[in-house]
Amino acid sequence: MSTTPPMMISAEGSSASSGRASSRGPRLWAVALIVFVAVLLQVSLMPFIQVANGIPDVLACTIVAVGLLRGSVVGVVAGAAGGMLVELMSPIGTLGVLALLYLLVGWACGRFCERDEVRGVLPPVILCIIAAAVVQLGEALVQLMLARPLEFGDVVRTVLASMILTGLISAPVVAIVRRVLGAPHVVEPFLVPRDG
Amino acid sequence: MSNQSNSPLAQRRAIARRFIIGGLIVLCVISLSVYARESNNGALHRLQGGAGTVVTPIQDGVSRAVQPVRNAWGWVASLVNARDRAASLAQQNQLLKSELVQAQFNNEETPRIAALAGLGNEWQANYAQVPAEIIARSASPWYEEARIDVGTSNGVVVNSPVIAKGDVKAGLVGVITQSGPNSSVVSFLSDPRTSVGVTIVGTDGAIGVMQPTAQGDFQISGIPVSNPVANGDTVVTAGFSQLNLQSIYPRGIPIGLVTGVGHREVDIEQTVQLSPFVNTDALAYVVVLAPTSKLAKQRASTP
Repeated sequence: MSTTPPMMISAEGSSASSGRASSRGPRLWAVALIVFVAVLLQVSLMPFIQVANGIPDVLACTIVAVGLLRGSVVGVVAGAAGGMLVELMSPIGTLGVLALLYLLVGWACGRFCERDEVRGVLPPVILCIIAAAVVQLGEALVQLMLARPLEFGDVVRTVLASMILTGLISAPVVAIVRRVLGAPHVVEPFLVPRDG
Repeated sequence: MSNQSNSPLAQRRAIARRFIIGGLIVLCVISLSVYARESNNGALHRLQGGAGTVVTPIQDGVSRAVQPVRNAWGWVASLVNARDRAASLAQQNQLLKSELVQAQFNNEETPRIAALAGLGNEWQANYAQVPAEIIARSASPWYEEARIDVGTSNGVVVNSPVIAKGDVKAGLVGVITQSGPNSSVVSFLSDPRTSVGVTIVGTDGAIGVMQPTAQGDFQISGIPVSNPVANGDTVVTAGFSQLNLQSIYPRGIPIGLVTGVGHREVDIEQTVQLSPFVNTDALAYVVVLAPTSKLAKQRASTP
């Protein structure tokens, strides 16, 4: 993968690369709003769209898109906050597991923020599918650690179904997040403008 | 580039980045570890319950807003297996017709026999039936839980049994595991942590324990081979668990029908498979049995 220098938000609020995206700033309020809406959809609508025990992971798609557009730090914070909110709002028997898994997704995708390839359609979709698999496998692992009975076939079916369903919704979700946040630029501590 | 990465600002930035990421990871690990170890009355469980109470109005609103989408999806999903469902319903119809005749006879006989034996229908006499709407389901496929829109202000307490209407008849679907002022969490019977003391009608009161299997079915263990069980027998709550300890479920709530029985020659107990009356996957409404009598409250306070 070829790399290009990341557009970084400077302390003065201007971008290292000029353009439309830089005039928008980091829009961290928009990131928070997007993650909150994704959490609401994840806990209110997605559990009812269940196929073969799989659930589409709209939050994973959102965290992937946020990570790709704003870098690791914002991805990590968005992932941890989103995961924790889901665990607080949805009847789930854990606290901290989803936060950790989405945090890892945000961190990993944030590292791709500097890459050119993720500006296309396919790489984010693939990352969303991988993110859904990571979240489901992570949760299955926690179930095993909690000594809950799991069938291998059931795990495979659930993970595959979640991956497929997440893949189906990933393109529009990533497109919406891109539309709201603008072009990718890394937002890091000591670089965020005060009005961001 | 190397000058930039070695500058004091870049170093401060790297330290801050590691601090944020590391701090959040530590926070997550601590919370998941503490949550798994603490009891249901622990601080994090209470925090989760409190957050659930706060977000209930939002969830309720969003749930109503997305209801058309959920209905549309349900309609599409029902088309996929429409032919199988039609065949299954035709078969059920035949069964119901024959059961109706038997039920009419039972309706006349059962109250008389119950009165003679000093028994009543415990779950109807000692509990208030509180209708509730499911406003959220577990966002993870690994948990069989849902949030409903009634809570302690409606008399619902932890360990209140939950029933619902099925295709054939109403039956037990789960139990309240968390209860706030205006919302509660139901753990469905398919949740691996749930087990129910049950008896099979017509087996001389033999008591077994029903638990979900990893395959998503239900299995009853503990019924002695000396108590013959047949396919089609009705399974109801026993009111007691296997060691004659009081159960949180009152006696007599229907659960489902026996679909398979088996044991090896050396076994002293048989393994019974069960098909529940209510499929919880498509549930939208449930009825919570809120305890009203002293006995019912005693059951709900069973640890």
